[in-house]
Amino acid sequence: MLELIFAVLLIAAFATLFIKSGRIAAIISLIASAMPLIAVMDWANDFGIKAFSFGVENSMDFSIAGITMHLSITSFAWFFAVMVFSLLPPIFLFSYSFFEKNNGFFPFMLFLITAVFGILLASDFLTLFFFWELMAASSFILVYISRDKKAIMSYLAFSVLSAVLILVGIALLYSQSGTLIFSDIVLNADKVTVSAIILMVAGFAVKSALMPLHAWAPFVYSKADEPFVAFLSGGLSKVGYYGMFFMLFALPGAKILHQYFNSGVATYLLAVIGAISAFIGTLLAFMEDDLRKLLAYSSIAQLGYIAVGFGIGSSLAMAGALFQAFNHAFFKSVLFLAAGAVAYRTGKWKISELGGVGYKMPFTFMAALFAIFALAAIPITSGFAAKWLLYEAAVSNKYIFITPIMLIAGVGAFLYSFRILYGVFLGENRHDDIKEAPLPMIAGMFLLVLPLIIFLIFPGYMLDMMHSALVDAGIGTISHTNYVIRTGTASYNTLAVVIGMMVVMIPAFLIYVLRKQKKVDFKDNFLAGEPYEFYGYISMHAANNFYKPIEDVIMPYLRKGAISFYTALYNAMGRVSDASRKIYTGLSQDYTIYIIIFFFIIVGWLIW
Amino acid sequence: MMWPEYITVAALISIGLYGVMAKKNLMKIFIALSLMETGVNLLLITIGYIPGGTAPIENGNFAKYVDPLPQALVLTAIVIGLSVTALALTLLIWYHSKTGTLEYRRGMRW
Amino acid sequence: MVTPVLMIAIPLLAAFLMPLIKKAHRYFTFSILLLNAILSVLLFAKVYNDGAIYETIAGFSPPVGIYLAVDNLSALLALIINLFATINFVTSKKDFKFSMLYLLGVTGATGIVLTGDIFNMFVFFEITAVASYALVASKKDEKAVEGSIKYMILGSVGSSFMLIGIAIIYSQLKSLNLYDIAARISSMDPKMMWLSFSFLLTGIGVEAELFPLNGWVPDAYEGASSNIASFLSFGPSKASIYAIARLLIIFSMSRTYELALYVGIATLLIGEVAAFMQKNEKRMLAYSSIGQMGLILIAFSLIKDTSYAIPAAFFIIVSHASAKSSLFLISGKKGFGGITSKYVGLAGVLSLIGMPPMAGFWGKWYLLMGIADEKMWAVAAVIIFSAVIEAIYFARYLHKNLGEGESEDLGYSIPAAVMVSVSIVMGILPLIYNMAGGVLNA
Repeated sequence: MLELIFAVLLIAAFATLFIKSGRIAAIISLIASAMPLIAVMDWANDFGIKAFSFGVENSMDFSIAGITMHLSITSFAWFFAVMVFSLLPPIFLFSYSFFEKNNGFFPFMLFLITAVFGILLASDFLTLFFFWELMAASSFILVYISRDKKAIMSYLAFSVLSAVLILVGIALLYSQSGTLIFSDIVLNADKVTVSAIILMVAGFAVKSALMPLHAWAPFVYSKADEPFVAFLSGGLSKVGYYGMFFMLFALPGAKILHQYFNSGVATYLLAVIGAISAFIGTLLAFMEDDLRKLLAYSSIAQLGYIAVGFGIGSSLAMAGALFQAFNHAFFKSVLFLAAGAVAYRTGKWKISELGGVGYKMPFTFMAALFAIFALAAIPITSGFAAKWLLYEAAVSNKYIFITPIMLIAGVGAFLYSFRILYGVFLGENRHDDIKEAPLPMIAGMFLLVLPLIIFLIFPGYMLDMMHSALVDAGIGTISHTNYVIRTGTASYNTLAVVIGMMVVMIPAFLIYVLRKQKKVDFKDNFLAGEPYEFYGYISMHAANNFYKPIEDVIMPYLRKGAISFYTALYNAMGRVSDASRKIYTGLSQDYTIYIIIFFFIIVGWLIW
Repeated sequence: MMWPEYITVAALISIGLYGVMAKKNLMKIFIALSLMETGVNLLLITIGYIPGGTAPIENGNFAKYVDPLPQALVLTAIVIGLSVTALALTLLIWYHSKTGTLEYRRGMRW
Repeated sequence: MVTPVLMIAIPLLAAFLMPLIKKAHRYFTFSILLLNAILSVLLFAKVYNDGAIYETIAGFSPPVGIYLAVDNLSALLALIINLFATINFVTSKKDFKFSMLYLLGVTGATGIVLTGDIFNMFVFFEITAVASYALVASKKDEKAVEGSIKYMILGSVGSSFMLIGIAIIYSQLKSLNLYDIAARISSMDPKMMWLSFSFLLTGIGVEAELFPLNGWVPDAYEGASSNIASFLSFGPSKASIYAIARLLIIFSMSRTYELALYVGIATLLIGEVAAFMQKNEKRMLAYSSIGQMGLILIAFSLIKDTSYAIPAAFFIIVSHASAKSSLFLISGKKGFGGITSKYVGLAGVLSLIGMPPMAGFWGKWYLLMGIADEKMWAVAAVIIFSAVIEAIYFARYLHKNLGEGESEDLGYSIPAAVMVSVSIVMGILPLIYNMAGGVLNA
């Protein structure tokens, strides 16, 4: 059965390579992408959740001429598989309308899914690395389709960096333990093992866009096809976190680091990096005018929270981190898809050129609204439960540096969410001639919103799902019922909160609807009677200079960010390259001199 | 040891190398290369040569004869050198007809 | 009955018959190359089943007679060279002289990997080198001729060095047989031994594109027409790097391996760094070739210490031979201009930077496993650095070729696609590793 799933994915991938029509390719991909989901549902039975059984085996050894690939599902891989693979059918549903022509998105997306499936199933390092590289290769081709120079260059460079870091890490571990199979590896707290763990965590962090290894993300997220970006941000970044989770808790690298440094300094550093990612990502996000770049920085920020959770490593923090990962997978996919839908109808990306889209595309707006609620962690959403767990973990561990930064970043998330809401969907209506997005797009987005609503009311289900993962990783779980999460210091009853919010909001909504209204023109409202023409089209947009005061304060400091660092590195490397090419003077006389010098050097080196 | 021969070998090779390194004119460079090849061939001959040895021909006198193998090698090397020189001259003619000079025009570098 | 002699004799004979068959020379050459490729498959099958073949020529027994020695790796290399030569020849549109030179070049490269005699190796080196000089110049414009002249000058200096090295070995051991030399190398006067090693390494290194002996490389690759640049990158260079591996095994001293490692690192760094900012596509590919040769040399320099070295070197050779040759084939015009070229470009680049399902992936995997085995962290760092550099300039290369340019020439891009597919096949079937394992014992 497992072979069958791989076979179906690969056959579908090869089939869609030769299909011109985007519609047919989307249908094939949709069916194929349901296959891993079937396996994931089947495996739910093994991890304490009742579901249908299709008879998919848990493990498989796949031998090909002398090399055996060991595949088997573990509880934590299963948790990540749930979030990654449930994204796919809605995304393909969305792409049914998004792609009229098959530009290569579908086949390489299917290769990518195959690779991700392999990564999550891998139970030896060769398999893991093979599929990791397959993922890098196929996602690179998906980036390549975007034809953007910076995206292509930064993505390939960072992919390769991540791959070699992981490969060197694997090689180091192998030289220490002599085996590549996960269950046989016994780690000691020595220098080589510790450097291997650090290298591999860094390698995985590249895919999760953790600062300072995030420099590819803004370019790629803002240029590649939206459905792919939705999966890249929602799914692939989680695969990176799966790698980190595996290294730190399943292997378990965190313990080794703890033993070696004799303190939790290494994991604390990870938490700090995560918090800084969250903070700076947020700052960059709310100064961004390009909708997709805004979402990219927002991804970096939201993913940073997960790293904070991993760094703290307590059961509370881990539950929060996994919860956050799950939420982020869904709300960020929805947001990227909504951005895609908006661009599909308007063809615009700049927030300052958009506005009022929500009046014409109400369903897209609804989906995006839910996602934004979850992103901004408004108390009735599942996003709140996740962040609440994280905050509480940070507070209870007395992390005086991380906690305030995270809180500020949380407020910042609200600020940029507001900018999306107001700048894109509300405000002055500038798009009278657009229609609502096609039905498949809306269906795809609402399918992705669904889990957010379910886990908003029943966060206990989520904790049930991650229960065996946390237990298997030796972290321990937190006590909960379906509605109530109990921690050491407090308990959070979602049902009570939801009902409480409803009690407040329903009357408020009724008052809003039933009150006597006087329609005030937007321009009057905004400009207080000043003549419209005076300000021009852009400058009077709500999103223009939205956070000017904050920008003026912080921009000078952010200008020396990671991206300018990498640019400077690139330019410096270019100068080194230009200088070193001067060796090749184009004169055979010089080259002969080199030969003689080389000869004398090696003779001297060998004889004396 | 046969010092005069070895000194000649060293001198030929050094002069050849000097020519290749220092001369601008491609013709001179190829002449230098030929000199160098001659030096190397002489080295091979010298290695196989035994003072007072006879030619390695079966005439009953096997007491002391020159090693035949290096001579065979040198024959091969001479043929190769010849072909390289012939090709080099052809290329030089082409180069001259295209550029009008026998020196590098330094269009190809870096 | 397959014997390695046939693989050298047939194309050699065919090359000299060429003037007689002027008209159908392209079909004739192609069938000879195909025959040779089939022979090399059979030869490989035989070597794989029965073990290494040692065959004497003309009845003299070693160490006096010339002889051929074929083990698994050399049979595989002969297979690669002949296979790619066959595919590459499809693109030839020139007259019979070109076909003749091409056959000679292939003969020489095949001879280098199959021979078991050091002077014989020199002769094959010269055959392939002279043919390559002429092939580079066959484009007949100024750049081609200038590149060819530089190649020829350096190649001649190199071959003189190589001959001096051979002379020194012969003067000491009175033997030219590689296996005989390897057995008795320790009886040499150490100074003479080092001297001969240095001469040989310098001499072969010129052909094997090692830094700093590789001045001719960018110019010759830039000047040559694209199918000849492709030929250079799978034929002579691969054969010569294999010759260097044999040289290392013959001398088999830890100092020589160490030296090879340093030279390999220097070649890798200079090649990749020089390629980084190179705007001319062919020159960039040439510099990148230099870097890859350094990588192969690093792999070979680990032969003594770790069993990963040979598969690593083998897979990098396959990856580089197929990917770089195919990239050269589609180079020299603006943009990919078609789906086949785009496929070749992407697959080639992914193979070179070591992503699955290409052969380059296994090369990288085994190389780093070998390096970790030896705990050479500095080398690992160098490889990380060069991999990232390589990724950046190849990404730029891919992007540059995206733009609308001339439409592709299927006569070039289809052979290139076939070539690059070899890398994929090898990457998917790493069984070749098992076949290549445990060979090269001199």
